[in-house]
Amino acid sequence: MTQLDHLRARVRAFLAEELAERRFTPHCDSWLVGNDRAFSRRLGAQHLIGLMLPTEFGGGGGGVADRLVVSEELLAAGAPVAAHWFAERQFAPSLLRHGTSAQQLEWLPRITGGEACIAIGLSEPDAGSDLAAVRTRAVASEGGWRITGTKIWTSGAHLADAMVVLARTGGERHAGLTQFIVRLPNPDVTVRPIRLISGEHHFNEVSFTEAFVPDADVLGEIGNGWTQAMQELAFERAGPERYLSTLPLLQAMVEGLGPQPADPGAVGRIIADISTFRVVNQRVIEHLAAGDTAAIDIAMLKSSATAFEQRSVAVALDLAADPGRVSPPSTEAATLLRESQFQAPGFTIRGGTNEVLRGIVSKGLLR
Amino acid sequence: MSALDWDRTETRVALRESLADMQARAGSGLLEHLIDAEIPWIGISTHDGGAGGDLGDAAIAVRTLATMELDAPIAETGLVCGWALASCGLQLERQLMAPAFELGTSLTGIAVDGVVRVSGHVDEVPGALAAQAIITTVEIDGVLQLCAVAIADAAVTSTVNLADESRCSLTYVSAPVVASAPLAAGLTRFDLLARLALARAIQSCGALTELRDLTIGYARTREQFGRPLSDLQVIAQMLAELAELTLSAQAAVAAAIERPGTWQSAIAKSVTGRAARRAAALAHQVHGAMGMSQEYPLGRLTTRLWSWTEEAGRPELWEAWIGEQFLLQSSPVLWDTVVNGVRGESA
Repeated sequence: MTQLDHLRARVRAFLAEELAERRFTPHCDSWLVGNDRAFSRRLGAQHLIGLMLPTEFGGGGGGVADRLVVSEELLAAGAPVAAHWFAERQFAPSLLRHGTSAQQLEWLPRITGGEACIAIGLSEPDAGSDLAAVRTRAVASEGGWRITGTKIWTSGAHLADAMVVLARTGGERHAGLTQFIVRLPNPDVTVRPIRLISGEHHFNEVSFTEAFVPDADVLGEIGNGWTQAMQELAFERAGPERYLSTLPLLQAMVEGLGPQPADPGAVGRIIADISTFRVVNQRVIEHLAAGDTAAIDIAMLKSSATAFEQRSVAVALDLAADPGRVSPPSTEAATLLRESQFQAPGFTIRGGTNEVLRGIVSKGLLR
Repeated sequence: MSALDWDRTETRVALRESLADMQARAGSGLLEHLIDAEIPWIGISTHDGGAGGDLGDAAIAVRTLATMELDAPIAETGLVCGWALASCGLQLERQLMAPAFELGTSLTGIAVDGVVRVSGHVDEVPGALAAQAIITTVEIDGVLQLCAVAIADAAVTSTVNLADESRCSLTYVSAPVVASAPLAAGLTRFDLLARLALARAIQSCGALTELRDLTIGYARTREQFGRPLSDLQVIAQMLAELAELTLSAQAAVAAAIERPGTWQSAIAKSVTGRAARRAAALAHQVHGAMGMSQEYPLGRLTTRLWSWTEEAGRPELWEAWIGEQFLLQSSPVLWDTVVNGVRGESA
């Protein structure tokens, strides 16, 4: 057994116990909808968060491959990882790269312990795909900055301890943007729910009215926000959550399919596709870890993988209707199907639409 | 181009360059040069009669030759037939070989006085016009054997695929078997077909990469509406999709080479075939009428991709096989199968 096999076995053992104790119910898109702080704390206690962070901060001191093994096992099981997901995925690497030692000492141990829930504030009402149109403004004030503006589609802001806000400190477009760590709740920050077509509340509109942020909570350099945000987006886009969001649904649908469905190829194609995205993902994160921006490859992975996720929901409908089934889909399968149908349009939008991603790809190809 | 463009190790880049150089110098005599350089037998150990090197080396050669003007059983000889012979303990002859592995074609054999003679009909045999022997399976006295039979002993009906590559039908009447051995334990006819499928997937990967680059090049230089086609957003998006498809094919093939076996080969054939269909359509659409011309190189790539996708088991066949293998397990778990494969096959 390799070290990664051992790690995988540890995660599976942890998940098996969680499921045996009925501590969570598997969901599709669990990295977005499954906010469960107690789960994140238990995971942190097992040293399964921050595998690639330095040990001095409670991390595993390992490589990107370690984090990938843990991430993919958690997502495949539909475990509720949203409470620590954004903190571990993009806030932590950003802190390591750009944070002050005080910021690292404050946040990294909390992240590895599963205690930090972080929201990421990028999109605005007038800055969606065109992120450089950000208008939220930070104005220098005694000992810090005052932020005014509105962020939208912010996942989990209503549950977060802090929000990383990209705001304009001067300049035009990509220049003059800066990242701030805004602690929540805050009397000058209003978090309003945006209910999705499912009726569920995961996204928010977050308004800032001269909200004060001390200098100590500026993340990275003033004016370097665009570069930093793009680095974070690389981590956001290159992950197994781009092809495993519907795996709990697909697993539920193959149960009861029996050995001889009318269309076994539908299942075979899913296995072939996921296996291939895994290969691409492993290579992409190796490049990312080696300091390569890998922006084109990441964009290609996310675009093709999320298109697969969307198609997989259609396949789940086919599997549910397969005339060769030995038993109809379970109640759980029906629930997962319903949740996935509501979530599916977002797969190819969040984290950069596939059209934006293909724009990045074609620019790279034609350079 | 992309950091993921497959396999850039020094020795393999060198092999690629030397093949391109050979093509430039040899012209229509390329096959003789390849034989002199032992290219058809790369990937089979010298102990088994091959030219040495591993599957990755053989794949580079096969992938590079996939876009050249050449109709000869290079992939078929070493990567497919040579592997099958070596797997069954048979020594490799330094000849070109053609695999008769397509399902539903089979010869019958009778052993008389220690000599096995075969009769019957095999279809869709690639490279039979250039090769000296076919390699196929024959049931002899109830045992499935891997056999080499001389092509000179067959009545050959010559046909070609869409890309004008020779795919012959051969009829044998009591022809002697040149060499034979029982199929190695754990090996089935399906596993042999999977090896041919892997060869087609590797070739498709080479053709897809060239198809992508050719199409990008055309879109950059062809001007309409006063600007290059690639300046049109709708064309740029098509080029990006073409690159995505190529990437997936490269990844699936790379995995199949790293972990050889029927499971990964099936995945590679499925993914490259699906990618090839869509990519060929995109490439033709971007090229407009020009791509339809025989003088222009696009058709040479797309006709190959169309044929290779349908040969050696089309994607649907392999997907059904993967699905069936998965569902045959007791309490099949998708994720574990993705990570670990089934029935001892490595994922």
